[in-house]
Amino acid sequence: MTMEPVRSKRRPVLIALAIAVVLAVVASVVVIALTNFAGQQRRESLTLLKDERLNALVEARDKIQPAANAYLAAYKKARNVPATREEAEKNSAKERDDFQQAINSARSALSAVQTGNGSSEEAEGIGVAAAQLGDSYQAYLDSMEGLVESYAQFEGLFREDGAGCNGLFVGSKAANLRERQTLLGQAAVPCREAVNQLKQSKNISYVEFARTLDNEIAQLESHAETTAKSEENYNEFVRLKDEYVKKADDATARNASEEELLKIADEVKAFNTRIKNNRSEFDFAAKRYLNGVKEMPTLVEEVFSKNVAAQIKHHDTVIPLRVQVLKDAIDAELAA
Amino acid sequence: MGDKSLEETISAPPRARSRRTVIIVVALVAALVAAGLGTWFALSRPAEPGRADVVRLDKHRMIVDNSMNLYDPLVEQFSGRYSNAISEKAGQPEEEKVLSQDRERIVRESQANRDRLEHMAESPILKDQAVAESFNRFKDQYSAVIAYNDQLLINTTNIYRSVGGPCAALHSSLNVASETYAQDYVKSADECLAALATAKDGADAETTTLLTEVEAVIRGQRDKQQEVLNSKDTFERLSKSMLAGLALLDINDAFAKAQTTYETATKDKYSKIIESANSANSDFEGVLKKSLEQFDAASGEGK
Repeated sequence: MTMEPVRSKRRPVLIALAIAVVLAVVASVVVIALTNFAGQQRRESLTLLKDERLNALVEARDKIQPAANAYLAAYKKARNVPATREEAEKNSAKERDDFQQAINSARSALSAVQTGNGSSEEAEGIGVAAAQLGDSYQAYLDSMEGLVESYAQFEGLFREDGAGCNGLFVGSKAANLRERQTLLGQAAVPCREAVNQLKQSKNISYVEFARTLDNEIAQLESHAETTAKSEENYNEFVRLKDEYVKKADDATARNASEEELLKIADEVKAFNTRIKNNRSEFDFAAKRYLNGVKEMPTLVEEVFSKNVAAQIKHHDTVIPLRVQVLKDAIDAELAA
Repeated sequence: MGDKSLEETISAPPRARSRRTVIIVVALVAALVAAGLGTWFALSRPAEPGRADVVRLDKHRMIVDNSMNLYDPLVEQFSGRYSNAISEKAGQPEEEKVLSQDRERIVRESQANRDRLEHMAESPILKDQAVAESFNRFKDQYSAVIAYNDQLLINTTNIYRSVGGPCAALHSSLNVASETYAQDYVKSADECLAALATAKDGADAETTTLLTEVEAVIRGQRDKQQEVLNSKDTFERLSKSMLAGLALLDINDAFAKAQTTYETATKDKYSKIIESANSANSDFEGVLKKSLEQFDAASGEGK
């Protein structure tokens, strides 16, 4: 064993070692450069998200409500010409398209924001804030889309060439209460069908209104049945009363026994109780029937004046707050 | 012995080689560790808390403060939808849907807010005693706002489920003049009382008081109507029924009183919570501002 083989063995090792060290250094430099570059890129994309995409999102939302209003007005105007639902839809097609376009732009503005927030691992705050904004924004778009989509259906509920719910207001068309009940029942069939369709709307204000209206119709039907029955009972009572009077007169005329007279008296008393109960049931149902009919126009009116307005106000409060929170989350991430 | 010497001659060269291998491996590992450490140092933020940490914490403070304003509209939306689903008898699936969508949204909201507070607690700037103290107060007060709204969610659900559900029918859809009124009343009242009993589950003190008061009023009415049913003769029935009817006249007062007590109590409670939160917030804001000024002053002197 001499030195030679050792030296010849050590040299490649040293070379290998040197190469390894150089490689490691180069690799770490590359890693550092890449992460710095990635960090720089991330900062740029966050700045873009905050300054451009979020503003685009807000601007896209600002266009939704005017577009929806324009469509609702155009449709209503076209329908009042008068025109059928199909014609009115045709004549408001431009506004409808404009609205749909506004919705589509808003949806793509939203997806630009959602893809633009980068990996949520690094900044959980941004991910959560963006998801919350997305949730609220989406809900707003869906509800406005539902408002427009189901408007023709809603608007046609109380039209004669629509669902014919105005047939519920029987009024003086009926000769008696049984006829009123029949007419009401006839009007209720197509009306109910339309109401149930409205329950499928994407807009909760329509859905809640449809639920209430459905229950109101059921109440009207039940009260109409009660009052019709009471009226028939009453007619029967008038006939029975004559019978009792005749029976009592007979008994008195032929000097009937006290026992028989008392029995007749008891019958009359029971009869009076029936009349009284019939009357109270009638009053109860009639009062509610009239109230139901009287309040129905208010119910319809409040869909827009109260519920839709409240819904829009809700979104007008929530979405700007969500945007602000996301902006602050980005600022926190960018702080240096 | 011969065996052993043979073994040594064979094993000597590999031992020398293995030593070299060890050196190479150690050197390689050392190089990699050094490179790794270098990368880590280059990437990690300076351990010393800096101005950016203050700015960041202040932004997080604003986020939490702004997020609190979302509770009112969200809770309002939930209670509106839930009460409609219950009062219009939309059915179990519909009620479940409101609970799983609108209520769960608020539950998630609260979780996100608590996470935000926890995240803030990790800020390096909290090494500063004054900032830490102010933050802890901020965290406690805002946690109280979150907890209040979580409880409000439970209360709202319970009240609508009972008072808005089976109890609503009691004084709106029964015909007082009807022959079977006493019977109908007792039946509906029993349903209402059962619902009220379950509604106390998980309710807070104020809500439990409200439910108990409503319960007492309805139980009183129910028992009076039961006496009507128990009466042996017509005269007794008539007089009991009249007394029960008269008692009904007081029911609105009793309900109004229970409701006013409840509203005053919860309003007081909430405004106190909000007040403390606001004061903790402005205090924390001031402390952070001061800390920022210190950093600015320090960097100004440095130049």
